[in-house]
Amino acid sequence: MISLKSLYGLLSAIALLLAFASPVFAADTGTVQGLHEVLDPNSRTDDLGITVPIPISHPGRRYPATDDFPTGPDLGEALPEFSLQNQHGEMVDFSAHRADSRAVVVFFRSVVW
Amino acid sequence: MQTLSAAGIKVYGVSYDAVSELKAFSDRYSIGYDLLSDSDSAVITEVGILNTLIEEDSQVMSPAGKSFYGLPFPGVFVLDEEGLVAEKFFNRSYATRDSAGSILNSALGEVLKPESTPEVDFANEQIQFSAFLADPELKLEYNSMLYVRFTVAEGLHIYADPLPDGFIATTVSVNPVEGLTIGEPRYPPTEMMAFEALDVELPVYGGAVDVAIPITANADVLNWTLTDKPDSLELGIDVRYQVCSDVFCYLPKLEHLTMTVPLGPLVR
Repeated sequence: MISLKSLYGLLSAIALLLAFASPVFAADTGTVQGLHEVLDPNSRTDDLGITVPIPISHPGRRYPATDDFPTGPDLGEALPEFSLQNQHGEMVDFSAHRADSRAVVVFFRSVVW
Repeated sequence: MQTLSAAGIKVYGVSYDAVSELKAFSDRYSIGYDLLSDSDSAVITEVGILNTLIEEDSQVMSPAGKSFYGLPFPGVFVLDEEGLVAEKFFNRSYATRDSAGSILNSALGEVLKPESTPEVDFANEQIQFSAFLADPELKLEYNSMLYVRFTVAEGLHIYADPLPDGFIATTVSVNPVEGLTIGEPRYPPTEMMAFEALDVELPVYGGAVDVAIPITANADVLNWTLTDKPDSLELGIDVRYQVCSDVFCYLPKLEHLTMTVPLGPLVR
């Protein structure tokens, strides 16, 4: 016998899956709702169907519940000016180093984990 | 990577790792471009992509003993010569990434057809087309791109939507396959061609054009039992078109291509 509650859960899971089926560019926005605020925080399976041993509320698994999250400067805008050290300890002034080359800038999680 | 450098495109990686951590990684994997250390996440914050879902005082640490706070919503910016954002790739889930092939094509501003990627071809006297993948294989939750490149013989054209009744637009569709998320086809801009006898202007393609279809291996590929887990998937691609000159048309055609796409290791 399937309970009403589990049926509701199943239906909302399906609705979520449908709503999130296509990851695309997002409009910039101030507040972000996390997937762990929408799904069961203890779930080990996310909306993509990927199951891992840590629950979706774990800080390392937190990601937005919708496609509406900040993605920085819009098309046609510039990145802010910045200087950072590279892996060799040299200071890199981004805009001076890039000069007038095209560039690909990758913001990634970490090289350590 | 070499293709980007050869085209004069500089590559930068930015993360919240310390210089020493980046050095170790760079030495181990012989990284030839700058990995920049944004150890206090100041740049990540200024760019506006700090992951705000993680509390600043979160005591939970990563497997490597690092705080989770300070991570960005990960993404890729492609900048033009003036430093303006020409394209950006952001995905909601950390598990979904854009493939090297699709980012490369975006950065170069043209679609490369690498030697090592799956490809199927069709040709007759009026038109030839080839379907090929941006990457050598599909990996779990990596957004790749399937391209169908049309080359129409000189003096001939094919049509694009929107069209009046009786004309056949060029369309590409990929049949659903379990384990693949297939996006909407992206058609390139058209040229308008005047047909004086009919007193109309219609959108057409001539020469060489690329239609792009986003394609991603999703978690369903994990659900197969180990014994029948395939090394590859068959993609059925339907191509519908009608070739015309300015005075006459050939019959509309529907061609079916089958492409075998290798699946990469299904691990993250």
